[in-house]
Amino acid sequence: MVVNGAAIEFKKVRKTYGNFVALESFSMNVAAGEFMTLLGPSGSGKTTALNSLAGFTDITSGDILIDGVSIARVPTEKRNIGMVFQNYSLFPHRNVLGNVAFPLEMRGVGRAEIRKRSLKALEIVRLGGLAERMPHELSGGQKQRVAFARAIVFEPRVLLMDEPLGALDLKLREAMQLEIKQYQQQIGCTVIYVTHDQGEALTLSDRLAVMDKGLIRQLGTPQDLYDRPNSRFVAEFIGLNNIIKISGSKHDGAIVDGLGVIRFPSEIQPSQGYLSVRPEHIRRTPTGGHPAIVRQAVFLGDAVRYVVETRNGAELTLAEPRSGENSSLDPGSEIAISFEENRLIHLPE
Amino acid sequence: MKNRPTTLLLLLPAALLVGLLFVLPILGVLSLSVYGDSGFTLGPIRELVGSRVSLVVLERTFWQALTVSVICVVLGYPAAFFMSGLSTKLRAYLVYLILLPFWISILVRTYTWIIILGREGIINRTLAAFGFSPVQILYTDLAVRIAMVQILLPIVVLTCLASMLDIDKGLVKTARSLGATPTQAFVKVFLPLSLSGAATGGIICFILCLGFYVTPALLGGRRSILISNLIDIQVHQSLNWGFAAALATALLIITLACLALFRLLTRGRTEFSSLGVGR
Ligand SMILES: Nc1ncnc2c1ncn2[C@@H]1O[C@H](COP(=O)(O)OP(=O)(O)O)[C@@H](O)[C@H]1O
Ligand SMILES: [Mg+2]
Repeated sequence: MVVNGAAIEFKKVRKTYGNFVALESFSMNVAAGEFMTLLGPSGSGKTTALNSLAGFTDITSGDILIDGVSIARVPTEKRNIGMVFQNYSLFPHRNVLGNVAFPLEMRGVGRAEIRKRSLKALEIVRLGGLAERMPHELSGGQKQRVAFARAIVFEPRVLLMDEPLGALDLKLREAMQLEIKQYQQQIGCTVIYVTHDQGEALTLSDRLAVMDKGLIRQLGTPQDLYDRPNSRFVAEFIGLNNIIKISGSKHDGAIVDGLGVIRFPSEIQPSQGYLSVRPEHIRRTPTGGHPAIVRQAVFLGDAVRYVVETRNGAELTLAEPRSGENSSLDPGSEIAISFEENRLIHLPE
Repeated sequence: MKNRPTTLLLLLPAALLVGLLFVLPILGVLSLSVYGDSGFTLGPIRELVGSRVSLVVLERTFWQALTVSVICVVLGYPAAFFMSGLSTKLRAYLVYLILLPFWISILVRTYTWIIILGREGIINRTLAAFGFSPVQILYTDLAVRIAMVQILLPIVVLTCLASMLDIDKGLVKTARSLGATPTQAFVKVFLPLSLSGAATGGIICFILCLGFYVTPALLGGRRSILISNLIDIQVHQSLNWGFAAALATALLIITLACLALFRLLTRGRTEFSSLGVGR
């Protein structure tokens, strides 16, 4: 089965609970067939955004369009959106097949057809043998698959997933991530995926929106957000990062706490905000650079991560790929470090 | 569940209490129906089977219990459904209101019905005011039924409500997102999940009905007595303890048979799996 994903547009959506603002000028275009992720800490409004698209939450103002048509007056059951919930939300009184068949029954599909399509959906999630089981007889991963099969069996053009893997252990989670991605690429439906796990977001998404306190802080491809975070919040949320305060500027660079004058790759040198640099963009140098002392060395298999302290008290983390048999530095070793200048990022806030 | 001796010990006080105060007396009463002054006898049982009055009363008791339970569930379920949708605070107030009658003695509540249903009662006076002739409700099965429903309804409402509050509200939302209209979501998800509570309420109601004594005695005529009243007559007026014991035994057997029947009817239905009697 192949479906054409639908395009989705959030237009200045706002949602308040009393005085509390759960969603503020939330605008986002999701292209047909795109995999979009909402990433943010708990309470940042991700579920609220999904629920307002699914029809569980009435928005306070703004509009949501599917393929250019407003869904404001379309009841939940007519929106034709597949949804996978974090707690699976399987019907406890129906067996696996009964759960998967539910959306088809509601659409008045014929009995034989229901059975055929439900079994096919179970085949896709590789649960063909468990059709007669009751939900309480399933493991967490199996429940998750049933919930997924139930959400796709009616071939929705939009699939919403609210932290679908949150309750699974790491190994299972990684396996399921791959399967979800594969399925979406085969079928071509539009996916909006919610997670607070940045690794998951980077792996799965075509684009992602980082949310905080009901606002989108930054929206872009995983690479955009990793390489060019626009704020301290995003820089800290995605990947490991060194963030150091800037306390002034000189004509040849910014004055960075504990490091001295650092030259940014930009035309004008910033005088406030933060310097952000990824651990893999800091190198050890035999000559020159900033003198520093190794405080901690963490062996990661393919790399070694060092926490170092510069002479003026800045603490930095750097990652060094391991090549050959060389052993890592011991804590207390004196080294000198330098930055890949064109990877230095200025965060205004 | 651990079955270690120490945990079993915790069961002991309750088990002793039930054993001494419940099982032993019941066995004693039951044995009265087959043991007379001259040892083992089938006399009382023969008397029971041969007594038209007893059979009629047994049948009436069963009918009253069944109709009252059905009415209670039919009235109580929607009320509980309404309450399950309210805010916690409002619901708490309503529960207080529902429990209010329990503060008043059954006797008083029953006498109140005489004022309402009697020949000169509120209903008949209202009818008369509109020029209708009076109706005989008091001292009929109907009066007994009305009062029993009033007394038992709170129990059914609260049992239904408890099972409804146990239902994950997210499931109804899920059903909607999967294409169910509000009605379909109710019929396909909420109703099956709350059915076990309704059944529990109905069964409790039914069993309580079988033992009603004061209500039929005060509101029923001589033709609406129930089995408890008949047993009372045998004990206090006829002094026929053996026959009374045989009636009690018949009542117990009917109760157990009803439970067994219910169990049979709902066997394998997962809706009832949370209910002890369902599996
Ligand atoms: N029904 C509600 N009433 C009041 N506040 C709510 C309600 N639903 C959500 N909120 C609040 O809105 C904020 C965003 O919630 P949510 O969208 O669930 O966050 P997330 O999914 O990102 O964890 C939270 O602070 C939450 O407390
Ligand atoms: Mg959430």
